[in-house]
Amino acid sequence: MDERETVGASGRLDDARFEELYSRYADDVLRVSYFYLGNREQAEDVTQDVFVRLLTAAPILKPGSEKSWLLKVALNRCRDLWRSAWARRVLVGSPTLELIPDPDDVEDSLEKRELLQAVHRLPASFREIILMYYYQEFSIAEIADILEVPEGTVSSRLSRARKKLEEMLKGSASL
Amino acid sequence: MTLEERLEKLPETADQLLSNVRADSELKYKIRTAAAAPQRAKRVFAPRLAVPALCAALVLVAVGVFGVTRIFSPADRELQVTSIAAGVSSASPNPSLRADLPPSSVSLNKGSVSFRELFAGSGGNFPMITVDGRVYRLLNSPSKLNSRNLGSALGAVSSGGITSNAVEDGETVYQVSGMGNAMVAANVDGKLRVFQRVSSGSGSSGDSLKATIGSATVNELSLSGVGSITDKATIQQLMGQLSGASYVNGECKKSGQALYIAYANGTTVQLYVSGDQLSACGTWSCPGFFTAFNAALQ
Repeated sequence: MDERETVGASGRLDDARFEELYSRYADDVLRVSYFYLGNREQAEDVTQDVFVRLLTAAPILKPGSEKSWLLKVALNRCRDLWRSAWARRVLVGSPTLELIPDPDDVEDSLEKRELLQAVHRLPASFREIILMYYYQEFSIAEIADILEVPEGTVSSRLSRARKKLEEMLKGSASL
Repeated sequence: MTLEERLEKLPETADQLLSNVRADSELKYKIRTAAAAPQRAKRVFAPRLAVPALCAALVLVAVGVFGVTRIFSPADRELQVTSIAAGVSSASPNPSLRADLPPSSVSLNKGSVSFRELFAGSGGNFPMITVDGRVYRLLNSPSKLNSRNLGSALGAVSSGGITSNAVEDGETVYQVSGMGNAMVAANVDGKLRVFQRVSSGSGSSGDSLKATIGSATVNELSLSGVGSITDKATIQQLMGQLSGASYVNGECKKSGQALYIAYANGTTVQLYVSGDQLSACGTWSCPGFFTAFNAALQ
């Protein structure tokens, strides 16, 4: 999926289409961005950028490819922010997601929170693979398309991400 | 549970623990505003300005380094920047924003809870379900109710006194475990969503505030701008105060402050707060609740 090829020159996206895509996918874009960055304000900025681009560039998207386009733009923006001086100064070193209290039993709740925090602490290239594969449930081929890397690279990163995650979770359990 | 099994449940886990992270109508408004703004043309950097610009940058860096070092001395660690956002906002009138400062240079009051609108939609045309004349309004949170928290089936949309502008005809509408008539759930776009009762209470119909807030176990009470309480005994005492609230009228007083009642079944009820009154649609007065809430936070 070449992002540039999907962008048409036909002006703005019509309102009904924007409303439809916003109501369907804005939460996913915001949550993936928040999961990636761990900062609500920045995640909202990314979501804003993504949907402003959707509105103004009016990309021609094939049916079924809307979500992957939106998340691709969001991940690119998240990566830019993560690499920026701002991120190094403000985000790195305080990688804690603010999670709402889980109504389930305490042990179950702690396990869930521990998993989410561990995913958030993964190196960025592993984190985005885990988010795309397990959270957004994209296939290996779709992730390869979104990240513009070969499928083998996605599989390899996924395997290494799982291994790293296992180590991190074992480490925190033994503390 | 293996790591793979835990990861397979990541969508459910993340939706549950991040259910407060929602793209709301305020964000949509910002997007529309930003998209409507004329795009600025990129400036071409003129070489003749290079030397003055470099000098100015050096001066700014010098002032920045020495200035910031002085401003953020240890004695000033509690510095906050207060600002008012432009445009339409449902946030409290004087929000305090964290500036882009070095880590640990600012701190937030952990007791503070910001106002967030839980009702989906805006204006008079909000997503809703009516069941036997009672009106239920769609909530933004949770984004997906766990099916184990469903109660009895009340019937299908467009039959037996159930109508909706958000749920498709034929979809089953359920009660939510422990919530009585205070809440219903139904599939919206493939996800089980929760609707909070907002029909007016009145003495004549026998409704009380209790009919709006249900009787499920409460995990947390949060009053925006004030704080949160999670102690079970205190919550029980405060919920007792709410049971004794006196009916004022059938109107809904929308305000910039809310009481959030978070239940063990994963749902949260929102009541607007104005002075010592609480509104979901009908309005109730309960000064004792607010006195007790503030006392509990001391």
